[in-house]
Amino acid sequence: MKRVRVAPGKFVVVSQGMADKAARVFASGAFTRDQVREMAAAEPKSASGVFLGKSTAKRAGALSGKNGTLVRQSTGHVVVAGADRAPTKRKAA
Amino acid sequence: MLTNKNEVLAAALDQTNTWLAQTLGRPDLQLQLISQPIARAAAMRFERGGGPRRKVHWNWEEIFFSRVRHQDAWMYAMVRAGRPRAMCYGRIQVKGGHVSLEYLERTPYARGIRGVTAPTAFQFARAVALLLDLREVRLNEPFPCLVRYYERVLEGAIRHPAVGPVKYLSVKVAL
Repeated sequence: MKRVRVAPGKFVVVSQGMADKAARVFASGAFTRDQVREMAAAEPKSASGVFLGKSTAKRAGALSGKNGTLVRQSTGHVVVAGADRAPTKRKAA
Repeated sequence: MLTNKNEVLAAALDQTNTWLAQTLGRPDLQLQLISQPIARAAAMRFERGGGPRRKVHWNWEEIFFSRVRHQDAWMYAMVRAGRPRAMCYGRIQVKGGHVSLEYLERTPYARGIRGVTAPTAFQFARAVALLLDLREVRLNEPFPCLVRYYERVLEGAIRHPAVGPVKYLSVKVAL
């Protein structure tokens, strides 16, 4: 049995068989340091943080109301509409 | 639901963290599984870290509560210096014979994790798949500009459908 810390203050007990199998999985095909270095070099500069993910926009070009963001359905990217405008003042409560 | 999901994820996480520290020489990076008590705080800290430069609209907290909790899925945060720098959500589909990476995002321009996010996510997913005797890892909805990058760095990656916008990339894995 192996006690694995999966998050701060949270542990999961893993059987010896499972732990051994996991070690075998990594021994048999994990990326090497050089491979990861090559992958890092190949990473497009345009990859500014988003790697995978499905857009959940209701429809293309939909404005999301409150903050006026425009969601492109094809990419999931958010384009801030009216970012160049001065913010409107809110009435004091 | 899988009865040994937590054990499988913990074993894969343990080995991925060992790989980060020993093979890549990056003990400063650690994966942490997101679970109920910390999900909200972790998601908020991550999304705030992106600031106005964050380019997507999805909500990691919502993803956790609607698609991860009580399901055959995982969410982890890649933590550096106590802060979540990348988040990943993946699904286990035993009947379909594969695991899939669904969402993967890192904080924009995060120093120190550039180039590590995608290999780590794939490594973790591969481990989960093989521990469950599944033979395929899918990368769902890859960002169009990254499809060629994935094809180049993941040996044997096949796009589906073969022509047109890519729904997913499939990679066969084996011990």
